Amino acid sequence: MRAGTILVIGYGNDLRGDDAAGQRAAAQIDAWTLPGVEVRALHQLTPELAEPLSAADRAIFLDAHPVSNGADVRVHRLHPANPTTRLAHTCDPQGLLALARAAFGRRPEVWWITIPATDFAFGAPLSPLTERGIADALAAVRLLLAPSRPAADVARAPRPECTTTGAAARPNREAS
Amino acid sequence: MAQRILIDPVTRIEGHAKITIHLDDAGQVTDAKFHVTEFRGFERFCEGRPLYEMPGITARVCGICPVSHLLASAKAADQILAVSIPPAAEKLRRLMNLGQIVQSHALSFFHLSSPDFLLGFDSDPATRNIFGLVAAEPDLARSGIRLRQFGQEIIAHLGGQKIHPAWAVPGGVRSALSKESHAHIRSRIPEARATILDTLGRFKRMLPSFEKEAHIFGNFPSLFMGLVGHDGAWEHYDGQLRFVDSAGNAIADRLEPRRYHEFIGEAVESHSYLKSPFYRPLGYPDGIYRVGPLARLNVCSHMGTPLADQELREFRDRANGTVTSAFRYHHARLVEILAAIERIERALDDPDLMSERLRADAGINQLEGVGVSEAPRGTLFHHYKVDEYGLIRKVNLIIATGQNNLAMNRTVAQIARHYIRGPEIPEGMLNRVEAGIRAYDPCLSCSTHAAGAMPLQVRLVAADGTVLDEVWRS
Repeated sequence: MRAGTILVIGYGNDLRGDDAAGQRAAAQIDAWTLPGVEVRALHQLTPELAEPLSAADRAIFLDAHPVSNGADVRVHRLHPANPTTRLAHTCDPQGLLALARAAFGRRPEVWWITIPATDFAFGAPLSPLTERGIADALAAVRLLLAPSRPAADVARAPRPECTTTGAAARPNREAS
Repeated sequence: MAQRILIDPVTRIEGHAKITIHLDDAGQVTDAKFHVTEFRGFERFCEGRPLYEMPGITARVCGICPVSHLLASAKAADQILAVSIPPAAEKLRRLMNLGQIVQSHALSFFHLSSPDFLLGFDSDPATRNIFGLVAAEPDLARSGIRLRQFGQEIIAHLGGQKIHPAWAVPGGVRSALSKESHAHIRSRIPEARATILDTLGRFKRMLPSFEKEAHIFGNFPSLFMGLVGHDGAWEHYDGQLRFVDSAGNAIADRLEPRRYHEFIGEAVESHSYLKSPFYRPLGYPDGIYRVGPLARLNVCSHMGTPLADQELREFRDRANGTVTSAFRYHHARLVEILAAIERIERALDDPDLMSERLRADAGINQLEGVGVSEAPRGTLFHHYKVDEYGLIRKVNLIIATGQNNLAMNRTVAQIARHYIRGPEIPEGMLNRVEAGIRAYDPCLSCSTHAAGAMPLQVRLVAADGTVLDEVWRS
């Protein structure tokens, strides 16, 4: 991964209904073929991603988030996890971020977009809620990727451009 | 007054497990049992599925070693098609399996176990992890991360993705290795080889510091089983099975893997969903045997590559022959990584590797097939029976962790026997039990491997139900 690029990672189990949301969103972003943007659709996050993550200027993670009823897409600004976090075969974005900083001395600006999800049954199609959530998440990604709209603007934006009806992607809080 | 120590849970997510340690009336450890309390049911829900789906389905058994299931499943299906797959397909499958061995062993050693060695078994669990390793040995940690990345990249370049690549299929593989991927893999070999040679050197220099652990971590006589090549060489994809005893004698050799049921029995205990395979001629539980890196290095005559052969000689010299301590699984993993890297380099030199003839087409020609390969953790069996339309009628999977089940029980008992002297749970035992289990790198779930952070509950219970002592670590 070249320095100065943006890394987009959508992750989740594509056989378990709405858990595929991150990968589906990543596939659509990959189809945009944006220069300087590397997209990965992954089953799960693994520790060796720390190195390409450390080389990126900005990173965006997309993942399904279980909810019991309707909820919005959420955009979180992430900071590295406490280094006491557990990292084994799989990681979470904050753990990866911490590993990137600890092992490779550099970390990008990271955003974590969670897409509401309700049905994780094997072989289930995406629920309408998650379908709408993916569209909202893509709108949020467009904002984050826009060169004329730095991340600080995204954080202040009440709603993303190109949002669909229903759940709206809105940057809402920082997770630390 | 018989007593019992309960460790529950050993794991936190997919592979829920617990340990009970049984004491006799005198408070001495008599037995230990490693329970797996999660039921997944792959063998049953595969029934009725088409044979062609099996590699893709069974790869989902595990997100850690999906390649191993993919290959064993494809091999079982090859037999049912009654085909000999194209040479390039076999070579590419081998290449992927070598990548799997590198990535899995690298994660086990660098991420999960080396914090114990470098930071100390009794160091603070909050920092006895990869971050603690980065702080103490940053170069080693970085090179370990990149070594695992190398193995994962081989899998991704061949299968299109690192996890659950649906690439090996009945009759061969779906796609060739591109020239770009070939060049990329080759470009990374020098760094990978330098990393593993440096790590082997460090580990061997540290070994004298861990004589106590080597003595009590699963150090007992047992059988060992693994695949070997036609010349007795270390093997990971095909070949025949060999059992050796703890004196190094081959007690059974050139066993045809598809006839495994003649020499492997499977015991089922009511306390666990994990089956306990045993060497049938010796019965249960006397037929205890071990699989995996330690076993493979004990059963083979040689590794088949120059650097790994040199390391194998040293590995055996340190034990004056067959290595019986589970602690040395770690050492064996490093030797296997070296062997895998040497074989990957050799494979890339083979012009056949780039052939486009990758798949034999056939229908259902036999109603039964057994696929066997060496997963990082040990020998893996996939046994399928199908009907004339290729629908699955019966599935039997024998996984490495199950085959090490009896040995893990005995390992926990040995460690507990060393530490327990009365009705209290001594300081240090939890860390050693955790590390003793981790030596086998059991594939129950990630959390079994959570270095320094394995959630443990140890309860010492008297026969009358009185809790004598209890320790929690969340």
